[in-house]
Amino acid sequence: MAKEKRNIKILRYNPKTDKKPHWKSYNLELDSELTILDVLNEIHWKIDGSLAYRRSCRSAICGSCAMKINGQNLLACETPMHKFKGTIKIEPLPGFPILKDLVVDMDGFFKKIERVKPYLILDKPTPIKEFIQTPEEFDNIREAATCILCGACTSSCPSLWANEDYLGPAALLKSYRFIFDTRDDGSVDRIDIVNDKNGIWRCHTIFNCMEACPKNIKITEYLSKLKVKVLENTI
Amino acid sequence: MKKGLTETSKTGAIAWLLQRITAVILFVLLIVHYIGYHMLSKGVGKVDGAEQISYEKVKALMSSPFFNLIQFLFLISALYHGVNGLWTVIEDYVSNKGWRLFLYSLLVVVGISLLFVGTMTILKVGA
Amino acid sequence: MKFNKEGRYHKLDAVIVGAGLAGLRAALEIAKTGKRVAIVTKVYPTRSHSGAAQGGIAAALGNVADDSLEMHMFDTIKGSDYLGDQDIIEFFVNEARKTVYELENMGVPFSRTEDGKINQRPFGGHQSPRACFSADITGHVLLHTLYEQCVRHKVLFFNEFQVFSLLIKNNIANGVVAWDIRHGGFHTFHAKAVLLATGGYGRAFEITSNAHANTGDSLALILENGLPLEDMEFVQFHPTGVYKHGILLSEACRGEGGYLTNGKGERFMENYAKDKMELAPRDVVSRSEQTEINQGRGIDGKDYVYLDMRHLGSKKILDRLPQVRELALNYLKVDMITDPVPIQPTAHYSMGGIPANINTEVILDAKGTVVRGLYAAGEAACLSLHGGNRLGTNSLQDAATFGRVAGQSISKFIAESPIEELSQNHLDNANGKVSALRDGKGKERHSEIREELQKNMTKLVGVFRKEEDMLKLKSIIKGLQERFKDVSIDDKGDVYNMDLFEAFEVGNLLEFSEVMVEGAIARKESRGAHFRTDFPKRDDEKWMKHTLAWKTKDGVKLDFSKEVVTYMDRFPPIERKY
Repeated sequence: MAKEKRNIKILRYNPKTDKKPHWKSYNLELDSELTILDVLNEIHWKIDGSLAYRRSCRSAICGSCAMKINGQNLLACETPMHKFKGTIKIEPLPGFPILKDLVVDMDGFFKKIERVKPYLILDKPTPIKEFIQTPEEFDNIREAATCILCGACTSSCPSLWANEDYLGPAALLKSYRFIFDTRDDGSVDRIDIVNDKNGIWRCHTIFNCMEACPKNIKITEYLSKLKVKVLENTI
Repeated sequence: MKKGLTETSKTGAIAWLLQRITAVILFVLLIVHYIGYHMLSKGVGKVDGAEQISYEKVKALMSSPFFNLIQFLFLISALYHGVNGLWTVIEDYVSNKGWRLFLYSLLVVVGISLLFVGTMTILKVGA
Repeated sequence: MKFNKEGRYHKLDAVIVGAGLAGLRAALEIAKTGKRVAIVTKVYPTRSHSGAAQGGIAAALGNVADDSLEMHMFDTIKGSDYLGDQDIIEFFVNEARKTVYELENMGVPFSRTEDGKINQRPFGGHQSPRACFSADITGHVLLHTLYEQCVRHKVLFFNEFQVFSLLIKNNIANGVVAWDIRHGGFHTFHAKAVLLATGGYGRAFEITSNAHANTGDSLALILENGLPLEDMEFVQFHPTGVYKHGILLSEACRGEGGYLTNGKGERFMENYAKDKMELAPRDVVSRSEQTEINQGRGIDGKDYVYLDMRHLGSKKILDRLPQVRELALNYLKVDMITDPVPIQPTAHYSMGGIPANINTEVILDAKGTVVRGLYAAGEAACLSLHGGNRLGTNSLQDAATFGRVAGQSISKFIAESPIEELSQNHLDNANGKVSALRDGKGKERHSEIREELQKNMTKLVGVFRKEEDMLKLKSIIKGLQERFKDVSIDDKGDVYNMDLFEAFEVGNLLEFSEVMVEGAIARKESRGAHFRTDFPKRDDEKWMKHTLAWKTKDGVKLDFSKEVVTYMDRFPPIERKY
């Protein structure tokens, strides 16, 4: 494997000893085939065990390792080092309180998801077998259901940086996933929840979320569909 | 669940809808404006081989009450669209409360001034 | 009652360790009865590794082709190489359809047939298309749906808590002690019943599809409590791991029609499984791949072969396997629409685990004596449903079905049982473990010990095994266990101390790896995923038995008196050909 010298800068923060986050620089000789997560592991395992970050699946589906890498919100596990030239700067996801190093507090994020009633609500009796849903109806929610709740979108949204009460793209996308599910009977409530100045109407179509999404979900487009749906149901 | 208009507007729904409606109006009226002023108003001879716009023709056009109504709609739409657009930009990118208030006020003052100036222009030139 | 000052105390009806499919499904069942149930999990629930399952969940719905329970049962038994207990398998296939319909009714978005039913695709070892799927994110949507339902039914979540000790008193489980990863400090979860649903433990291997979190913590806790593990030598190697990374490219790739080719460009499965070709069960395909590689027919003579999807065309790939394609693009810079993907076998699933009966009650001997209040489900458990080799898509079904069964058993148990009081010193064990690691003065790094273990496990007890390798491995593990006593960690803090929980995990890997190796040495036959080059034949005379293994002061104690449950009249063992 080819080796190369790299300078890695990580925004470190220890709540017990640091007043505010500071950059720490590491000069390493690394295999060029490594991912950013591999690089973090290398530092954490071999140099400084106190470096903290979240990770689990390594295959871009658990959503643990979203972080800001050279200015972009990315999943560390699926981002190859060779994507960047020269120094690589790694910081926690912006817009969330930092707990330690690259670990942010996502409780608020999950609370917002919970606010949109993120579960199928049924008034009708369940069938003996499955509900019938056409492939087209499934296609309407398929991409939205791919969301891994990594927080990359919500973290990239300027509307949310300016107003932390905004539900944010991930929670709104979750509401979309249920409002557009033909099996669901709870959309009246859900539409009422997102029809708010801190709900769907705070989305100013900036498209940052769509660009940040590691699963390439067309979030902004779905939110636009949601706006039309909310209007249809409220006026 | 149906809601009254005022209640809905508190959510930002109406603002969003108006932004889309004014966008469509602007698009259509921009074409009308172009046809009216830049194509139909030509006819005072050529300079460097290009047909020039005639003052007389423009003035005549602006005396038509119907065209003035269109002009006024154009003005209102452009102002709403611009002010609302800037408003949301301030909302998203200015986090300091004092600055935000100042910019909002400035936006309102500029908006009203432009409305006044624009309305006067439409009325005076036609008169 | 007095508690250590840093201890926090929670009194519950049931506590569940692990928030994967099995844990969530059980929690939902208990919460619906109005009981207080908490899930204690190392990661946020939606980060659990059930979510990484791509291909599908097995149930003989017959939505796209004829299918039957009998066929599902036969396939599972044959897939298990006749080590699966047939009473468990029968119960399992009988429940499978209900489980899928129930999940669909809860909101799981499944891919659909033209007439709007749940769509199904073919999978290795299943004779009918039986894998109910949602594109290539089936596990993900199941996990999220169950999590959402748990939120709705007010399950208590303790996210980012690492369980350090399992409390058992008078042969009754009465709780767990867990470290609060985010803030530091212990919490005691005092409950009438404990469910262990910590999932797989493939991190004992270097090349693995498993998540960083899959370290088999509950298995080590079981051993520590003097209880046995079952069939630990049976580890499934998945044929399509991304070369060098080990992460998985779904079996759905082959289900949808993908080919495997060697360095000569041949579809080599022709020589190993003429009928089923690429859709033979995983153990068979992995061995075929490894044989090609070992005999120099890897790509350019190297240690990988190709997964070739090109003939399927971009439309099918983008429609059915969009995420899988993304993985290959990101990790290998290979687009499967235009190029074949380098793959190698990767440690994937553990058929063995915590022995449990059909009600998911943990048992402590070959006679089936239960530990009261203690339950296990999902990949951490061994019922034994999958026997020597699991069929693809039976695992999600296992976790969901036996998660529900666990929930039902626990609900029944807590309704009729009092809570067992805690011992005065219940925090000592956990405290001792943390201070040994945090205050240790040794020089060893846990990561080095782990890497050495993983490297040797992949090399010496991998797809092909032989006695001399495994004896060598046994002494390596002994040495590593010694070195582990001198581990100290860099991070002495309380807040998100990754160093601490990782060190603890390495200790756990070392404990059950030893049991795995001892079992593999003792089982002198080849069955399912356990292949001995020195004993290449299945031996039904001697080995229609489960392995039970305890850790004692004198090493690992093995017991082979637990017979496999076989319906000789219906499914007698026959030669396994595909």
